[in-house]
Amino acid sequence: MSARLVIAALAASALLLLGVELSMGARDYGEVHLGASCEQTQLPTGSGLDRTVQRIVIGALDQASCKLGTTRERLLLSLSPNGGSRFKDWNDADEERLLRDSLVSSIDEAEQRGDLSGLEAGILRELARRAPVDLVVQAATHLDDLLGLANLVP
Amino acid sequence: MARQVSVPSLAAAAVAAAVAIAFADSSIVVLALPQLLDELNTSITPVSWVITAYNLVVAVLALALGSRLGRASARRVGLAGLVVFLAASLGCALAGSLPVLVTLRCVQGVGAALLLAASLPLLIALTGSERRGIAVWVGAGGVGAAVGPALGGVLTEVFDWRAIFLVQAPLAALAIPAVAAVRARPLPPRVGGRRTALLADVGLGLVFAGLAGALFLVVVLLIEVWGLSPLTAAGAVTALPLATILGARLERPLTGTRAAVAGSLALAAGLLGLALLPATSVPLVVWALALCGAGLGLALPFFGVRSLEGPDLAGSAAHSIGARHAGLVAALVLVAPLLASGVTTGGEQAALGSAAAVLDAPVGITDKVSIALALNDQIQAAPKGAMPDVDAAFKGRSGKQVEQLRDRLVSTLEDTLTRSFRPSFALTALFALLAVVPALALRRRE
Repeated sequence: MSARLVIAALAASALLLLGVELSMGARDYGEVHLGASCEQTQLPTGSGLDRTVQRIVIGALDQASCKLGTTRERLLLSLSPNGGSRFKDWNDADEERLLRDSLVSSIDEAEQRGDLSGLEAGILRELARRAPVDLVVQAATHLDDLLGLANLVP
Repeated sequence: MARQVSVPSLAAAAVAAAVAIAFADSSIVVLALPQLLDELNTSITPVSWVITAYNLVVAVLALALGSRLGRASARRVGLAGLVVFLAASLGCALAGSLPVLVTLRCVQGVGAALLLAASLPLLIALTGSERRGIAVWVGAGGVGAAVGPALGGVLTEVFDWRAIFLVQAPLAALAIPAVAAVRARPLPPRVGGRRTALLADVGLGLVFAGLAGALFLVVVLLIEVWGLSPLTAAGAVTALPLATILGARLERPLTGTRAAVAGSLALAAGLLGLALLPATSVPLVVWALALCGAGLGLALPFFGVRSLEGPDLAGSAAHSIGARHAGLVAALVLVAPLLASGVTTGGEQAALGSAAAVLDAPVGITDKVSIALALNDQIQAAPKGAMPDVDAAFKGRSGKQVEQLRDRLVSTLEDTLTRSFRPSFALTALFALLAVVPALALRRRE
């Protein structure tokens, strides 16, 4: 094998490898694309209890993250008791206030959409305003259970 | 009639085997790092010291011994090295904590530096000629560097990381009687260029710094992030030594500076290929490693031979050993924290990406929020650079949509963590690229 052939084979192999990688999307590979703060996100559609709860919780998350100037993903992870603070560049008091306000606002919107009855909305609003924030977060993940209970109220 | 194997040949083979294992020790633990990471409950930067400590001690001691070795008895230095190496290898196999293991790796490095520095005069005495002695010495170094990672991977998979150190002891023990019987005379002074050897040493150091990227980073990526077994990873990494052997054959038509420049550029291109991985693709890793190996095969003989061209052969050999290990150390010291920082950011990005995937997934709200938070906990709990236990976040949940979400999260995490290796691979590619400078400087002198 001649020297030129060796160099040509190496150069071709290197260029081909890099070319294949770039054509497979190496530039953007592994990048996380999050929506910007306050970007309108599509709320889950459909009927049923779970969809209603998703619209309330995700709607509240969207509103609170917009007011905090962050993304809903960062706000969600900041609520984790284990290491959530690394996602947080706002203070706890603001977070608590904005989460409560956003949840109440999201419940209002759900009532206006007809997703919730007046009674259901009233119970949830009170819970969002008065319950300890940890409980609110836990309750947000189990709203379907709470609404199930609310439906039992005559 | 069967050819009789002479006693000096057997003795040379025993010494060459000990030299090969001492060279292999630079990288033999690489495939065991993930197991050490888990078993010793540590993270990337501390565990990288199992490799760094050995290479650092060999580099410093070999460079310090340098020309002083010409006046010392190679036999005594070699024997001392073998005894220390043997005892430290057994100690490493029994180590119960990372600090003890790193300390014993330092002691092992002392033994290896003494053995390697004395080995060239010993092999010249045993083979009866300078040319043959150098050929066996260079060959043993090449074989050691080539088989080291794969051998370590197989031993880790079949037995345990401790087996890596246990198998070294008999090899060192066999070489002791061989060295004890040698009557090595001090090597005569030669007419050689100190500057040529120095430039070649710089080239060797830079090429070995690139090699650290190809070995250390690829292994952590394949095992910790992509979840391959040490044996499978060893299979993929074998592309490197195989291509190195092929590259060394390609060196013949190229010869001289062109081989070194082409080799350094091929190594840099392979490392850049690893930096730009667009998917969790083992074939692409093998392709990039093959390019790295071909580059090493071309560049190493050029720099290796010229690094022995100093006026004092034993001293030049010691400097050559020091330069190789110094290159590995420099790369590891710079790469380990860069990787740790990259995977910390990558871990955060992975958690955010996973949260986005969970929020958009068609699963129930209870599962959504719980999975996102549990996954964040798993990302926090996983050793830095390692793939978190995604299944733990899905414990007690089933269903087609949940399965699909799990697969999507695994893919998001793998992609994000793979990307976080990019700056580290790019840095080692830069080292390899810089090896072109000493190659061109040597061209002007030839």
